[in-house]
Amino acid sequence: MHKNRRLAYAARRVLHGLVMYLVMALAYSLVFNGIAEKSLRAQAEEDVARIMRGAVNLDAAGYQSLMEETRRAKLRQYHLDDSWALRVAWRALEIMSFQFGRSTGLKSTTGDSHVVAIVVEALPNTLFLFGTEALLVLLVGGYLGLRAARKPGGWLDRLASVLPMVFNGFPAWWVGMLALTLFSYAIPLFPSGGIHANPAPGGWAGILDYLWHMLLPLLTIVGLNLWGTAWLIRNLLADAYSKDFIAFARARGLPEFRVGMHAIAVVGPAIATLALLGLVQSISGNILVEGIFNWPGLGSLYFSAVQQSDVPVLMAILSLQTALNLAALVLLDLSYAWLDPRIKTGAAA
Amino acid sequence: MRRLLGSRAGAAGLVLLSAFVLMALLGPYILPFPDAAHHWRDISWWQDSPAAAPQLWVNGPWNSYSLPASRRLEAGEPRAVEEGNGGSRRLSWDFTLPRAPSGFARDLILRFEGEGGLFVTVSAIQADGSRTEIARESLELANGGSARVSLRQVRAAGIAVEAFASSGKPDVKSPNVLILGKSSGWLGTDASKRDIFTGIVLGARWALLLGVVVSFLTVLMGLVLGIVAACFGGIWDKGINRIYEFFSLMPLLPFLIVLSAAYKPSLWSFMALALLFFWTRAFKTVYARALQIKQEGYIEAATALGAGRWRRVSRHVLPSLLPYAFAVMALSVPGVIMYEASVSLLGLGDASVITWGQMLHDALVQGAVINRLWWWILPPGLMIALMGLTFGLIGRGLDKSLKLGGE
Repeated sequence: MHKNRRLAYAARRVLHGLVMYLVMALAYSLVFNGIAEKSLRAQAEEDVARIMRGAVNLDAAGYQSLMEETRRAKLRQYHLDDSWALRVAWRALEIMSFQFGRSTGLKSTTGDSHVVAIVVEALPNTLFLFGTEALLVLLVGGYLGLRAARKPGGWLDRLASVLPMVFNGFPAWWVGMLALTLFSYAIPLFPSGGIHANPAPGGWAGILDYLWHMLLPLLTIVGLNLWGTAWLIRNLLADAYSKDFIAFARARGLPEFRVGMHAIAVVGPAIATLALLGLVQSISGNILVEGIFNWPGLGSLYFSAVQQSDVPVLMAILSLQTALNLAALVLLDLSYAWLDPRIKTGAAA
Repeated sequence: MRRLLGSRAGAAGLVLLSAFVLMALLGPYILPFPDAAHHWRDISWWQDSPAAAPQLWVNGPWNSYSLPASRRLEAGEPRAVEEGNGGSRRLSWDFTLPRAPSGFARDLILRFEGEGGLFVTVSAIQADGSRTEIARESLELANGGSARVSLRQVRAAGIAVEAFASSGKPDVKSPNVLILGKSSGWLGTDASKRDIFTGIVLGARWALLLGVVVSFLTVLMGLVLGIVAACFGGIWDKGINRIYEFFSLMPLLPFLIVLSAAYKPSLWSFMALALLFFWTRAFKTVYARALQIKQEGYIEAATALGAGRWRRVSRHVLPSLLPYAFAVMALSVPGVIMYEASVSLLGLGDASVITWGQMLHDALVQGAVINRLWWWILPPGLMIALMGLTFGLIGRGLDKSLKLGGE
């Protein structure tokens, strides 16, 4: 019975996430319908022209009628001949199902101009960079938070309380520009951008080279985001440290490390959600850092898509980021319900 | 205000804020280029400044080399005047350039003022007195106007200028020579020769306007919606919370980027857009707080005494919410400024204003990073960060004074 209730809760959360995505797709479709159609129309015309190049042995009238017929068929295919409301609905469906057609200029490294291919090629780099960042922020931030919580009012504690506010206003991409100027061009320590040296080494050396290229952008965002997490974890732990069971653990003569583990066990679920939330926020807030370091992820794609006014690609990244956000939030709710037995789920909640 | 000044963070924030306000207000009086606001993107307006030059204070005992500032040399009376037939005249002037290390190349700008047509030849004079021609140009001086001859990479001890006026009655004043410096202004210049200090000061007003107006209006919006949702309940509560969910789940920066790419909004429409998104933060705080307040005894007492809904809200709920709203307001400013800067970084900023984000966009696309022009990268970002810190401090001060007041 209990398990069923949990499943029902999970199903409801997932459904809610999907509905939210539908609503957002509809909103995007409403807001961007005009420009999305412009590129779609251009694409339809391109198709018509390609088909007409194959039409030979036709007199002028036949050519004209064939062209008109092809055009009608293409407009039909792209749902450009429907009423406005229907067109908006079709656009929303396309966004929902991730059909963005071809880009208007950008190509993937393999020369593919399908939007999905371009975006899918960039996504792993973004996920890897920001995933590593979230992990490092959690580990280092957690360690600093633990140290700060053990000695409230100490120098680390005060530092951890001030730095999040200071770094809050720092654009990460600006720090990236400075880091690149200083540590790559002024003092040639780090590579100046990209994901691998030219020519790219293969095998293990290639992986090391990739990580080496990731280091400076990684350090930039970790250095900035670390402190907010450290402060949050410090607050959670300071709360836990004031509880009785910590005093008991100390009284039992447990080493301080084990006592710390006790405290972490209590705030674990909160910290897990914090990490996931941090990842999502970092991807949507610090994404432009990639463009500074030429890291070929979604952020760099923004730069090139904006430069070439490639609307389909822009729409695709936006939709992808929206989907990522929503998926992470649903996951968050579910994991929280699973990890923390105190949270009631389902009808009894 | 007094309570705010009482906390160190709040006081520091207020000091910084007054500095920014002064910067925005005094802009026209302290700028080396007071008209720059109207000419920021006019490349020819800046042509008499050196390009990508570091700041003047690069010179000093802390540096072994020296990068001179720009210097203007006025010509005296012409060295020779030859009258030819038909009213033509040949005028010549010599300029002695300040001593420089051998092989030191300088960019010079020769400027004539007056009226009529001129044919100008310029020769470089070496230390041993030998002369080589380095430029010849024919100039047309419109009614009292000026014309310039740009001489690039001149290695010489002096230059000799000869102007030949062929006919009519040319009326030429003695020219002057501008030796373009290798350093310029308080904060140097960018690759388009613009003075960075000027840009920084001009950016302050827009950052302040954007931050303060947007955060004020969003907090107002959040306050109203939060109270309505919490106190009216029912469909209001549900509806507003749904809208809240929608706007708080949308990835804001990506949305703003795509929107700006599609519609190229002005700063004003950017403000309106930001309004749509930023009220969520104030709403969350106000809503949670208002729900708490609703449960408190004095509200129940007021209800029991027969106070109507409006009276309860205006006399009891609103006053206790206002301080929270102000704290949120201060804390949401950095976000607004950061988002504008991020959108500007992509080159989607409003071209009729000067913002720090746009300066950084120029720096990025014009190779400031590769050429290590740190004086172009550091100040604008630092200002964004400082502006964020200012309001962060004020918000923290308000927050602290609230907690103290509550206890």
